[in-house]
Amino acid sequence: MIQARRSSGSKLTLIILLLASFTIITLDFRGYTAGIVGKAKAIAHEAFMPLQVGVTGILRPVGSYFDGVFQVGTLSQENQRLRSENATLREKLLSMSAMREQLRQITSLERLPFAGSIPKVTAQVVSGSSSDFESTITLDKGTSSGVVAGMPVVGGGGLLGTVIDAWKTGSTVRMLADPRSTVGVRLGASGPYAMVVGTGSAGTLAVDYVAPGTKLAKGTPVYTSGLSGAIFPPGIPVGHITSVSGTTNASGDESVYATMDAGLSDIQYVDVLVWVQGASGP
Amino acid sequence: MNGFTRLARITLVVVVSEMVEVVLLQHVDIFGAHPSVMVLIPIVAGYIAGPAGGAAMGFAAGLVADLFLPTPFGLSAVVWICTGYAAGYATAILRGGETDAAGSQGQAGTLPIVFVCALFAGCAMAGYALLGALFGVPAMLTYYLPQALPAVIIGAFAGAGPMMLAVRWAFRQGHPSRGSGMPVAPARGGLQG
Repeated sequence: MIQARRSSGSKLTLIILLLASFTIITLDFRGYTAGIVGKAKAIAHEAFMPLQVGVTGILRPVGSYFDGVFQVGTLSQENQRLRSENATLREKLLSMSAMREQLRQITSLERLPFAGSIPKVTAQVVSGSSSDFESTITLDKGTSSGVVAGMPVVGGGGLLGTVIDAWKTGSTVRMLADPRSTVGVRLGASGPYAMVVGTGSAGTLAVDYVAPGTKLAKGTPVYTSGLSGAIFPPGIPVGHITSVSGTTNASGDESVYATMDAGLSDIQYVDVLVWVQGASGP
Repeated sequence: MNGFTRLARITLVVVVSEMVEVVLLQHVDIFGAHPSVMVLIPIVAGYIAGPAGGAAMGFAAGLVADLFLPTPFGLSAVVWICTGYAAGYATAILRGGETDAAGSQGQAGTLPIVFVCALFAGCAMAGYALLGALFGVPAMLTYYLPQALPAVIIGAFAGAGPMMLAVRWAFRQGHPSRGSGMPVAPARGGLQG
């Protein structure tokens, strides 16, 4: 009898707690708790931020050391590959200086948005995601530096992601590789428009809404489209096409994949573009 | 020990665990994922205090964890309530059939807590991924889960012992000789299993 009461008591607790949780999720989803939850999140982040910055400063070199110890074999191969790449790059360097001058002139003449006049806030990456189910990073710059949710983040040679949450002393960036990330893009300088979606896999992006039969070459650059109302300014390098299957996917589009331009290994500093959704390019 | 002291201890355990997870464990990389100590709280609480205790700790720990995640607020709480309840229920059944072990705090040495933690931590991750997939992010199931499982299970094996000590301390009743008047919880460890 007592056991039955206890059992029904624990079931009642379970039901009440689940109902409370689903109520909280619903209210949060509809935005009713945005103020309260937003403030609580900001307080929590700000409380932990000094510790995160301090511990990252201490552990980053230690982490690099252990990475090196555990990856000796890989590093050896990587070393050989880099030597060969270095030789190729030396050759390219000569032509690069001429190209750099051309680029400087083109930039000054045509005011390319990515290299142009969008104000930037340089921030340090404090940590990665605390969850294994998302690709995010935490930056040490927040609303006090002018960083707000929705701003694009670039680094390592291309687009990295978007600020999804910002508090006084820091911000969270959803990386492009996260499956929840979508970016309107243009394939090549004058190619078709498409949508890039994160796959979860670091560096690999799915390119959606490419009409069947569209001729695309591997290596075609992918830029943000910057169409009216876009969440990114136009012309930011996103990646390069790496795979065109020639077959259609479940939604009837050409199955295309790209690799991110931004190098993801051990990014320490990024630029937040002070640019809000829907603003016209500079 | 009064209810307020116990609440303060539980709060301390949850907050310190979240701090360890956010500040330290992010730098621990196991096959591309990080271990989690927060998920162990409801499991160990269920193991010690029964299904209701596990569910309640799952609710509290889940809400605190959700403060640091961009997912809908309360999502972790839903998964961890079920995890804590299931861990408590399964432990109680294996212990002898009584499915509410709230009166047997600390008598948790009959099952190896490390295996309970590893099993239910894996289940919690699978449940979270399934919920995420249902909410429209199938990559949580197809990409993130296979990567996260080894890290979380290895983390559960390593973190079960310390978490057992912490949660038992949080739930511990006072010693009669210290004047609390509460019965002593046997201090049998759960690690000898």
